[in-house]
Amino acid sequence: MLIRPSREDLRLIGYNLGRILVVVAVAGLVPLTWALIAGESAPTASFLLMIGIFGAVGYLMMQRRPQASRLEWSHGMVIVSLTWLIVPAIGAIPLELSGHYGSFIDPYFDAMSGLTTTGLALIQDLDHLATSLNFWRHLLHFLGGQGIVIAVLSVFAGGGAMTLYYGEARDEKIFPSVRSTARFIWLVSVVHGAFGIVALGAVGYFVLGFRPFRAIFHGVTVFMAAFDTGGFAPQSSSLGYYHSAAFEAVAAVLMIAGALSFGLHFALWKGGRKVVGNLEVRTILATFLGTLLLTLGGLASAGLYQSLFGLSRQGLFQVLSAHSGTGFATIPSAELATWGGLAFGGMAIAMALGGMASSTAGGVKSLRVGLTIKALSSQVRQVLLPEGAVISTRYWHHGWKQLTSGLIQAVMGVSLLYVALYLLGTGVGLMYHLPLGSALFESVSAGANVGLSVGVTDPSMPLALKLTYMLQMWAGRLEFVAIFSLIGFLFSLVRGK
Amino acid sequence: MSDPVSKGPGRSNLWGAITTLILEWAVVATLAVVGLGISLLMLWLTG
Amino acid sequence: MMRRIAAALIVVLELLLPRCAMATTDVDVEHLLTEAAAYEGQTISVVGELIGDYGFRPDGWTWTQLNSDSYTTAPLLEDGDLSGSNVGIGIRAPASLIQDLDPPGDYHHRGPLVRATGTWKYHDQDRGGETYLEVVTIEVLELGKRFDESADPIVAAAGVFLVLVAMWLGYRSRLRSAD
Repeated sequence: MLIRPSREDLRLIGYNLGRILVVVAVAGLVPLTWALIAGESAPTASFLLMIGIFGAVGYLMMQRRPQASRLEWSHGMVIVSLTWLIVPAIGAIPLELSGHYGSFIDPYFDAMSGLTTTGLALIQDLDHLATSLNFWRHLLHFLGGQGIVIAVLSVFAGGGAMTLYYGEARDEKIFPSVRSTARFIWLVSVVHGAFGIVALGAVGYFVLGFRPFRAIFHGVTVFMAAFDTGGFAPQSSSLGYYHSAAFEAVAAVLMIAGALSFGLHFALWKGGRKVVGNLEVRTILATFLGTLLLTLGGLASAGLYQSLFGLSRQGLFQVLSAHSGTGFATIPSAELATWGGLAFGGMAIAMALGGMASSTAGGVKSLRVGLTIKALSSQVRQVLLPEGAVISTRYWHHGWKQLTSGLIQAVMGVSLLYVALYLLGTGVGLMYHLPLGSALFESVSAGANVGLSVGVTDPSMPLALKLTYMLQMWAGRLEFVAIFSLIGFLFSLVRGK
Repeated sequence: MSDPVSKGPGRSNLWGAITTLILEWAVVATLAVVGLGISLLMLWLTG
Repeated sequence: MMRRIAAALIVVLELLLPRCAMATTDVDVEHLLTEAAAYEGQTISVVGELIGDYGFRPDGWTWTQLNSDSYTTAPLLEDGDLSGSNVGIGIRAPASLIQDLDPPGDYHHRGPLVRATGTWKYHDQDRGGETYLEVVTIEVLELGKRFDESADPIVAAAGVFLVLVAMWLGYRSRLRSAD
């Protein structure tokens, strides 16, 4: 029997959701200040409006304080999935008012893409966009990648805060206290931010010859997109704009850092002796090398790049971008669309598999891939051994762990959901007569929160396809559980007793 | 032994952050070498 | 060093040669991007707006982007229509060709409209597989200009009002929790 949520449940959800919206309103002060400094009047007004809406709605929800302060699992999941729907909706307002979008669904698409660190974009005439709005797009990556909830938890973690943490698809609690975990995640980000902005800014100023303000602008925006494995870029030609191997190398370091789980970051900070034995590290290395081999083989056989440096630089960067879930490209979409055969396969697989669990990357995740392989090899061993033999399989992931049938079921279940998610977008693409390859590529890119495009994502694409990709980005980022919880909650609200 | 909950990784472990960054650079450098190696092999194989 | 000498020689030759000797046909940038390989090594001209940054690099070359889309002639801030994503290519030119031009296009500016002529480099072996136009001459067709932009008073007023409402609500909820 379904139990209808009580008023107290709704109050708890509303209060905590309101608190998150207020934190995002405060975050909105940063692009507002940027707009004021850059003398961008129209964006200044639209940021003011956005902050006002975030603040007013947030505080309105906080007017009814709940009696209980402890969140249960269902509350946490519902709060997180609603957060990831409401924040991009309000965050899209300044983008909509910029005049760079055809309809409200387009800036909502971009804000969702930003928050979920996907990187697919429907913006038009990006190269004339106000710098403050461009900064806001990238800040959405940062807020989404770090986890809006993480931002809130690091300030006020109340009872049951862990449910919010798990709701954002993070299953590694680095410290017993959720607030310490949230703060560690921020510490890692600040250290990488300091390094990334300085390094990218220095390359921009000294190597690329940009003016100081522009070097900082490119440094800040590209850092947020790279470290949060987002994929937005400040200019329309993505990272191809810079024509610089040095700039790409710094971005690559940040992309790798972003694709590592925060648990692994912690292990590395602590000395990292057993990092190499980690199942997730081994798996990501193996799948990366495999997809790199496929892609480079495909590019070489197609004769697209004649020089050794050209083939390795372009192939490596694109595969790294795909596997880490970033979505930067150094080649135009039209050219990526011509990558057929093995190169196409390598890129699509790299995107689908994604980075590490509890990182800013999307996709099936290396830990699930590694566990699936372990489970399959265990099954094969079982078949080969005499009947009745008992096989115990262990794996190293921040300590020795037992591979249980429950764990295998959970891993397989989520992995299958990802496959279904990729096929859903492909199916809708095919419905609109897209070639199979393009439909599959774009769908995987959206569902795995990558952002690479073969040109399908375009303001003129059908509304149903835009909505499907948005759904894929949302579901892929939150790894399904929070979304199913929201559906269940809404259902019990209507049909519960 | 310090309590990791209250102190987090701690200031004394800032060295850990620096070594992590160095390691990330080393990974990129290694991948670049591996990429060059695979590219060389592929160009050779495909003539 | 050799590249710098070569670049200087190209500029000198450009100044000495009669204008008609450089005449080439204009190539549409969108077409160039879809048929990029077909133009490899050819001398072509493209027309568009210089946009983004002028990257004056230590090696004497300057890199920038040339966009050729509807926004170059009908900017959004001057009531131009939306027409999709930007269409542009990277160009590199000797610094002397770029340094006296108007600022590149951005939010506040429409960059200079130029006809850039040079060699199309597709997957350039010397530059790690990059694709760009190595420019020899730049002809300014229209000077850059500054856009007027201002805040919509209704948006600004609504924003201020809502921020005040939020502050009042925040104050109220604080008072309640203090009770």
